[in-house]
Amino acid sequence: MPPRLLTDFELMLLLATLRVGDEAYGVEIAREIERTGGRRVLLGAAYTALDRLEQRGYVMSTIGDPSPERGGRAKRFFRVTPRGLKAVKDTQRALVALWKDLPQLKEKRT
Amino acid sequence: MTGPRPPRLPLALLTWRLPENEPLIGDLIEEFGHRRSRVWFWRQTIVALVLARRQPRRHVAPLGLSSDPSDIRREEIRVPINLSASPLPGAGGLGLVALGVVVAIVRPGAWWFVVAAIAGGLVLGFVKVLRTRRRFRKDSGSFLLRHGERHPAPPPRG
Repeated sequence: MPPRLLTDFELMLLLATLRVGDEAYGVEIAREIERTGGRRVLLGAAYTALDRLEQRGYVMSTIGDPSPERGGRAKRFFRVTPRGLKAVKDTQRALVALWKDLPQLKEKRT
Repeated sequence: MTGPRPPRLPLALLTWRLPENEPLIGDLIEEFGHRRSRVWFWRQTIVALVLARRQPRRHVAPLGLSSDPSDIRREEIRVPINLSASPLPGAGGLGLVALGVVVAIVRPGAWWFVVAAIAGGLVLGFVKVLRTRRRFRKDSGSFLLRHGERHPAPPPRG
């Protein structure tokens, strides 16, 4: 069975979660994508995609403690699972294979 | 809460429509403290509500009927059907009362309009119940069960 590839947004979410590390929750993941990937993130869209990734077993989440600056709401921390890591690698492999040997993408040397 | 307060209306909408998604609401409040843009908060709220609505709906079992009695989890997440056909769950009866009040103020002589609306709603409700029952019978090929009848308490051990 061929590996299931991630969409660009799912890939960004997983990579940002890996980059942020243990403190990966909605706001930090969105900021990391904006800072590094240059893409604006709507938090509702991020949570919808993260829910989907959790259902597939690519991430797992835990609920933290409530804090006053969040109106007494708790944070939800995300962590990439080994299965999620494999999905990232599979997607990377597929994209790199597509990328290779394309004359249109080769830089012209003067 | 410390810092600037987010706009009340979108916050109330989020709390009402997405009560199970507390971390998202917390994230929006936290980020609002940095951005301080009401437009940003409204945009995030609208997108969150629209996306939540587009997500697959939970299993709906009208009037406590179940098409799959073997699935115990479905018993726990059963959602009652909205017989008043109101787009706002739980606000159908309230909307009818509000309509009655408005009609009584604007046109006191048009009480018959409210009565006709109630009668029409009842007829529509019964038709929906009958059609849904028939569909459940047809789809499941099994009998219909009332909530709680399928899972009797286990016999006492002795």
